[in-house]
Amino acid sequence: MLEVSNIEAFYGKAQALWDVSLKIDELEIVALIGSNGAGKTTLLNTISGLLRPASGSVTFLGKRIDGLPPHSIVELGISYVPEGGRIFTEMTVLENLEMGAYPHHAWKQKKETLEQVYQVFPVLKEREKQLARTLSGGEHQMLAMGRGLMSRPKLCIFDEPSYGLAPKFVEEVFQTIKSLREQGITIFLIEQNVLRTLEIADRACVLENGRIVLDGTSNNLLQSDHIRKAYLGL
Amino acid sequence: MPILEGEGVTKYFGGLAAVLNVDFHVNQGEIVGLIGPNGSGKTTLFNLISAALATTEGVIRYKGKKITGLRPHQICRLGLARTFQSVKVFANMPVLQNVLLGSLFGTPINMSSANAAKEAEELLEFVGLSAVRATPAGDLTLANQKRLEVARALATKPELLLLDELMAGLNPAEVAQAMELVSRIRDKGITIFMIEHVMKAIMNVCDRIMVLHHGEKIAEGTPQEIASSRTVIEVYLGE
Repeated sequence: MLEVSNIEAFYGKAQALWDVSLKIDELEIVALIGSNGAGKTTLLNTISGLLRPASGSVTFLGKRIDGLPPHSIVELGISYVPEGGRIFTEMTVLENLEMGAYPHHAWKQKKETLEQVYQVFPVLKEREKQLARTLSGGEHQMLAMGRGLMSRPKLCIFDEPSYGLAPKFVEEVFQTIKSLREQGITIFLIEQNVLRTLEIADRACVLENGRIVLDGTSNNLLQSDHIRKAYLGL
Repeated sequence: MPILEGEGVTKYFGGLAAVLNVDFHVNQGEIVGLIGPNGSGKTTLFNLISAALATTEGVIRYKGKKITGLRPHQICRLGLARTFQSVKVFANMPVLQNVLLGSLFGTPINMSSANAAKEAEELLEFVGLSAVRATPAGDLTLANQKRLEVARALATKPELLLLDELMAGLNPAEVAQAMELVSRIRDKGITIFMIEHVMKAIMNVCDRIMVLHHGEKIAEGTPQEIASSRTVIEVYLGE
């Protein structure tokens, strides 16, 4: 479904990604693991069109998407929920959600999608008319995920969805991600909760200093001494 | 005597009680944890203590002196510093200058800029950011911006430090480093009041934990007591 091939990316003169390649098949949950500063968010920015790679290619459903503007990539079916949510703080919760439904095909099904999002995150319905800035940290995150779903994506990319959430809700986020897959959405997940992530992911790639150093099935990675020591703290 | 105490602390946003009639205290030298579901009022309570928000009712005392009604900068100068859940670094300013600002602002005595610079360098070393001292703060990873906030807060020479979710977004190995940083801050003689969702950290470093739910304090006790409390498991920890 998504194929990233030999990506090199820079911020100004500083190279952030070296020869990064990975594949995501339809209906997989694939995780990307790496320390802070390893280049994870840079890679996501490259896939979603916020950053242009210096070389390499990104293909989605057989179509080259590197070089396309971000909104065209969303139209094609990739939704990116960035770290920290980046919600529109001076808009209401409902308006934020509607902003996610701008792709043409999604706008037509807006009402129906909204109901689905409210089912996943009931608190968003309760807070529908509140300004987004009055939400708590955890509710911000839910709103960001909800907005991401409003474009009716085929592939959803989550950058640290459990960030700042209470333990009870962290588990709900993981359950939500699993249920999204059951609803037919492919998932690319970045998470610092490495153990729980490997438990729900089919496969994972490990990014260190801008390079993919390991990839494999989650089960294999859970056995890896390097993963256990560097990422699980065992 | 507690270094920090609050009596009947209450904050309304319109008709919503974000913090309701909360009594609390933090003793000198303690590490106290503040936990609770998202939206339970934890950050609001920190905002009341640091005067980022005005208290609706109740009184907060620092070292026996009433601080409700003071301005944020006055509270900082008394020796009560904080970090922010959503980081507030000076994004376009280099890392070192961010810390320097804390040094030059916080101390009542006149400090030469040479001394302040030396001190800022030491603090960057202390939190592990020396390598990025010249980088604009906004270019750091979120985890490092949080560390930078710790250094900037420490630069104001606090006796009490409020840490708001220092460990969010860190992987388990990085959490271990952050826990070690918290312990080293305490070893400097600084009292710590911290909001955190990372249970491994809260349970291991805190002497005492308070739990908020819908703005009210619903539990308080040692990590063991909190971990086994039915109420806390129900509203916060999950089974």
